[in-house]
Amino acid sequence: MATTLKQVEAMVDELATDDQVRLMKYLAPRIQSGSEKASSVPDEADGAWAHYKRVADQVATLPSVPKTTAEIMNDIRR
Amino acid sequence: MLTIDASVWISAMSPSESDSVGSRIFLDLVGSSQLTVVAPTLLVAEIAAAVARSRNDQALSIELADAVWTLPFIRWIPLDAELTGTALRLAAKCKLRGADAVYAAVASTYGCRLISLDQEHLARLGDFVNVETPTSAAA
Repeated sequence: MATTLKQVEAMVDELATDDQVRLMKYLAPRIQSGSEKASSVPDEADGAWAHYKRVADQVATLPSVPKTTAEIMNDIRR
Repeated sequence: MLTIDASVWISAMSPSESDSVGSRIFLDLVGSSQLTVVAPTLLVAEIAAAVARSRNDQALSIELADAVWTLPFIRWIPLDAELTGTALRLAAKCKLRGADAVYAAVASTYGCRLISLDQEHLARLGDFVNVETPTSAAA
């Protein structure tokens, strides 16, 4: 069975003050790293979406064969 | 969650068509909100094929397919044995074409709304999958 957050909190409360300080030092860089990863996810996603839009817009401006989407879909799925 | 048929992605790049605006608005909504999309890996091959055949630009067709492939909000589903089984049953029951059935199978398996401009999707799948046009889904 997985350890719950409540159990971890109870265990931390039972630690001596020195050990709590050591735990803080252990956790600090991990919390920092986790926060940075979390905040960078939307940026990466936005960047990927912006890149897709740029390429799609480039495709949209190219001259196309005189076919509708339905006809193109029939071509590639026939 | 959403499954988006290749017809919507292709329509969005065809500005002279009446459905194109609806497809663009819908995809913009999905992309800007980072809604979860579940897609068959077949999608990128179809996008590359459609662009290469309609625009005659091999490099750009691959660049576009790569750009879609790397969108972080799309979960890619390969055509494994289980999905094949679902696709063949839907193809038989609804008289779908093979590729149409693959999108339907992904939507059915993962409980997604299927967003499509494919007339057979829209007309034949209603008993099995929730199917909508992009314009209706964006409303």
